[in-house]
Amino acid sequence: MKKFSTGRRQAFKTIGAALAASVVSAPFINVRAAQQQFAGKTLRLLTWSDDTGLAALRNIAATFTEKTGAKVVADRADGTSGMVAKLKAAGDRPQYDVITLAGVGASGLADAGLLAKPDLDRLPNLKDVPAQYRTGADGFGVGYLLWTDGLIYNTATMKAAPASYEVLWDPKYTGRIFLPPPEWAEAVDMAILAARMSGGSQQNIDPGFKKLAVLKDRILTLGENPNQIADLFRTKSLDVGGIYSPAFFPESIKKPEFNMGISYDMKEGFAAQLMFTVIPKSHPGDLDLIHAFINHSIDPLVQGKMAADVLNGPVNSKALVPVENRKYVPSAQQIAEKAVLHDDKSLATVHDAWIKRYTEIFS
Amino acid sequence: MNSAVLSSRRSPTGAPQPSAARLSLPHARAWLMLAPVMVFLVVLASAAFVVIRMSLGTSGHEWHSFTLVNYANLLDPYFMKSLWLTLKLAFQSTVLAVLLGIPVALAMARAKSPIVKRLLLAGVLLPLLVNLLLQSYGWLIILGPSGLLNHALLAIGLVQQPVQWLYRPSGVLLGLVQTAFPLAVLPMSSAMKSVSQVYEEAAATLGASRFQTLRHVLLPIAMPGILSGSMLVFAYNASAFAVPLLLGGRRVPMLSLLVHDEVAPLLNWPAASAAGVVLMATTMSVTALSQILVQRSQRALWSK
Repeated sequence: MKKFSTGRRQAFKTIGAALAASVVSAPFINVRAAQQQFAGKTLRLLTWSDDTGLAALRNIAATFTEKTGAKVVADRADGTSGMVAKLKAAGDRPQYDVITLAGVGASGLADAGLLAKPDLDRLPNLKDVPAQYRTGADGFGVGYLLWTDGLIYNTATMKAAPASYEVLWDPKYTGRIFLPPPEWAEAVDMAILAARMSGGSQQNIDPGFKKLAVLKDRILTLGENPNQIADLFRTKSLDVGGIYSPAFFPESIKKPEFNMGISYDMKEGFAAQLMFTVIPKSHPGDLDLIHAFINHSIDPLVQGKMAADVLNGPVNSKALVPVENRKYVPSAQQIAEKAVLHDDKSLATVHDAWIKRYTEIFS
Repeated sequence: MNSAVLSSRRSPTGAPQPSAARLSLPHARAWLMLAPVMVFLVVLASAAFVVIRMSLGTSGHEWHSFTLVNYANLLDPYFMKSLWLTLKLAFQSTVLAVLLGIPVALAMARAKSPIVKRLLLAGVLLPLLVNLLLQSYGWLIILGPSGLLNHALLAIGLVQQPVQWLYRPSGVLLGLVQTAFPLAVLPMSSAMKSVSQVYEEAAATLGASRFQTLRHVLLPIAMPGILSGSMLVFAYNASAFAVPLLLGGRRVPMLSLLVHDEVAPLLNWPAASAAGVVLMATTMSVTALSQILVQRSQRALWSK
């Protein structure tokens, strides 16, 4: 066997290492170079004005700017209806490149012909998103977050986390439970869950409303104001309620003095709503930049940060959720096995009537 | 030389006549001063007209269609019940606020000490200075299931279980009275202050008791101010949103909450506009009717 001197061996090692390093780092250099093309470009984002919107600015917009050099100019609206109003008011004038909003708004804008379809081939991170959460609103929306609702229970007055929604109908909790208010999507999902528990479904909702009517005199309140609900848990005036999302009180639920826990491990499953990013048909920015931004919003790291911040479920199955927040966020396995999504499209035709029925039951 | 002077002419009688320009100058100045107010009023009126126009549209085609279906839909018992509840709570809160406000207004009108006057004014204005959300938390601390009142009642054994004061019409009524209290007191106090004490002295000289003087002299004369206060409270509370939302726990469906439902999850602005127009028209009708009644009673009073 031919021997090499130490000096020559070292020289080969150095050259080999340099070559290996260049080969390994080449894709990153190329990606970096590709991403640099967005430096100096501007993306106009419309998002919520609440904590979720702020988290989107912090975790998606700011990291996107850091990564690509693109400037993100954000406008914020008070709720999905505010966003729809802004886009409708703008008409054909290009105003926003990307909007993050709830399913009902995305469907409404798609139906009004105000959205452009995203090119899914330009969103490589979609490969880690389960098929049912990739798109919605007739293909105009890309799922970026899963709004999840479970049962909120009092950790000080209940021995264990509830495992079934039947706990709400247990007479021993009379006067110490709450339900979501009628106009929220949570009320819709509660009615569907109640219907499923009584042999009905979204399409056969009557058994659900009949079951809910039993709770008329048993509930303390309809949880219109999350801070009030948190305070009622703190003062041990409430034992259990929902369905509700921990995203309504991301700070309070982490504080032990509020006595709040969230249970997603329900035998009937838990309700989830897909949140979307959409592209307005009239958008001032370029499509490469827009698709890069949407792709960034479903990046595993970004998804983990968003989930931890707003306590929503990530759509990316490989999301890296910090350990300390995992008990408030459903796991990828729970999402895959137990998440129940209502049908937005068919809901649109009955939502008005359902709000009336729900309001009449509890008023 | 002023052109207006140059253009002045003499009348057939020989007296100098001011020019048209000179005549219109003060008017022009007055209109100029009024212009900002007029612009503001035009904006307000335009907003009302936009709402009326939108109430005649259909969802998704707000500006390109004409229909009365949104008004027809309001005949649904769901909305009629809500309208009735809204008017009932607005009326009850008006009566309570005025009844509770009369002694306070009288004290403010007749107090001699400037410190007492200021303290009373500060106390009355407090609900306007504190955020509605904070006020609702205040009520939660006092009247909530684990609130101070329930603690006290349980401690002295008057009740075995916490009493539900909140998330009921009674809780909303309490909030409506409290938040609108300044609107009742301030016009009444101002009206009572303007009633000369000579009338009260005359009544006392004729042997009237303090209560008789209040009932037969002071209150009838101050009635326009009492009416103004009442109407302010009624209109304010008929369109109340935050109080029924926060203290009613969505179990007291006043009309403003249903208007909100039409806008927020249902995105049906025409239906929301129609409900808003009906609420506005009803409130204005009640206000106008009350004014007519009070004007008649005032005429009867002064014609005696």
